[in-house]
Amino acid sequence: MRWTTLLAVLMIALGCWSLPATAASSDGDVPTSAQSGRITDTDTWRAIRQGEAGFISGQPEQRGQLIQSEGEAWRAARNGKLAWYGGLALVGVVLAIGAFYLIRGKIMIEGGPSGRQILRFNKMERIGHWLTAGSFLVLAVTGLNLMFGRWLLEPIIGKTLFSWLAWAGKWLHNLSGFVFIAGLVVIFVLWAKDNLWDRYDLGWILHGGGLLKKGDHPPAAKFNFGQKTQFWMVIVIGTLVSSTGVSLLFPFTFADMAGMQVMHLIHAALAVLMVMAILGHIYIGTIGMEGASTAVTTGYVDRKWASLHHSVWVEETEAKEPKAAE
Amino acid sequence: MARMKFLCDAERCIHCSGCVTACKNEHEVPWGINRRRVVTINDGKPGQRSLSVACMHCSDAPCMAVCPVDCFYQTNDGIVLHNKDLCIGCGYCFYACPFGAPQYPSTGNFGGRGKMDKCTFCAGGPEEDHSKAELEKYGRNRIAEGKLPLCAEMCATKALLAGDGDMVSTIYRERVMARGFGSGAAGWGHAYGKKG
Amino acid sequence: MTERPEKSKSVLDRRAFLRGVGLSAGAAGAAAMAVGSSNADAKAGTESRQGAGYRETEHVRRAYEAAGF
Ligand code: SF4
Ligand code: SF4
Repeated sequence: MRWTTLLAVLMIALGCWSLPATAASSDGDVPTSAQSGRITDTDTWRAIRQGEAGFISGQPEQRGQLIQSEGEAWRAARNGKLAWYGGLALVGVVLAIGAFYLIRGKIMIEGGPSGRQILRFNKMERIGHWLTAGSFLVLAVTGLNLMFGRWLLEPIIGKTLFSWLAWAGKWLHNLSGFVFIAGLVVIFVLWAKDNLWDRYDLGWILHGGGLLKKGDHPPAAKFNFGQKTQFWMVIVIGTLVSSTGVSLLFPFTFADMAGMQVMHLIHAALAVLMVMAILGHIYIGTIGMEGASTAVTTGYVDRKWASLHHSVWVEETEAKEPKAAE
Repeated sequence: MARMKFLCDAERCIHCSGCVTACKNEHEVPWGINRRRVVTINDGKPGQRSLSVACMHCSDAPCMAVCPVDCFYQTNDGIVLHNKDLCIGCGYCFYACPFGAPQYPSTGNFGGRGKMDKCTFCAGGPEEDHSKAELEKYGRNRIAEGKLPLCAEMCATKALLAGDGDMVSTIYRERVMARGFGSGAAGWGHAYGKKG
Repeated sequence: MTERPEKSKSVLDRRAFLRGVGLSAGAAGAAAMAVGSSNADAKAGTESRQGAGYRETEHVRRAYEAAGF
């Protein structure tokens, strides 16, 4: 009994002795927080710097994070790479289209229009096209304004007017997003089957779509390979841009801070790609080619145009409904 | 020229939230918004520390760089202010800000966040000093009154320091020397960095 | 004063400042002002109503005193 007590006392004494020597202040000072282990060491600062979150009372839990550094990566990407490469790419595409126009000129209907009309897109198809196209134009203009307006437009029209425009643009952007999604669904349902790979595509690719030489018209069904590419681009990129867009519309509902930042970058980068492709589409549908634009306005195209560009489709249509061509 | 800075001394902050309340009351900050907040890390564990954070009024401010309508401006004292009349509530500044400073009156859908609100270093906004419009939009302009931010002035332990960066760092350096340890100050290097 | 050596060193600079700022005070003073204002413009953009700004008033000095121990 005695021995065990002695042993315990000894052990406690030894235990105290082995505690940090700093804790035992020999010169009679009041122990400071440093001596009681209350030093805020570099690890603490590093953790905070790297986004450590803590307890916060009376405010949303997310505000417990002291420093989020991803924002600066986001800023650097948005104001740097995205703005620069996106801007350059857009200017580049416009220049390329201009050069193409100068070299190749407007693609005319050889031998002139026949004067006989053939229905290319029915009412539903045209509605689908314009739901998508109209909302896309609004989205593109207002989106680009948010990205580049501060540098391009604001210095010209002044801050007050620009802010008003940007505000209106933001609302238009938010609302037309839903129209665009509706358009995507409609065109997907209507045109997906016509945009599957068929046996004419390889020939079309080998001929460079007939774009390079005058009078070169590889056969194609309702849609040629170029149009199919455009279609699937719109469907795939459009879906990605829409889904990221919707999650940006409902901040922090589907994603946290890092998610929002990444989503914004994806949204903007893909949107720039899409604008580039659509610029080409608009060019070839209007000033680039005679007889193309009426397909989505009145729905009718000249039979000659159709037989040049979509020979297989014309044959199929006329075989089905011999009277349609009359 | 004086460069206004905030500094929170983690060795002193006791998470009393006096600064948050002082700010809220002084500026009649809208419902749901707190321009300042206090965070305790390692809560209840060894190494527990509390820090009070608001807008740090960064040099080369990220918010300023990303705002699509360019509504921010930095005063000669280094205070980052913004113009609520121009703000479109896009939320970009909040994505970019390292300190989570920008706040929005509503977190509603469709980007309907309302005009951004954040700490003004008690320096109001672009309106006339002490005007009614300034008071309503940005709160009181104590800097123009020849005072310092109320959060710091009211801090009971003087953990939160605000004012001329040189004065603030002198005060803090003296404390560090007296304590004999610790020199870090949360966000200080990040906000002001080498950028001055 | 140091005005004389500076004059000879940067006559061209000084002339530019004088023309720009329209001050006939000392070259150093004009230089400082020009540099100061151009920096502020680059940073603050077009809209930068400054207001009264920070002043080290008696009130502020007492606040600093209270904070230091
Ligand atoms: S702390 Fe945030 S809101 Fe304040 S200046 Fe820095 S980036 Fe802007
Ligand atoms: S929310 Fe307002 S202040 Fe912030 S970036 Fe958008 S427009 Fe600028």
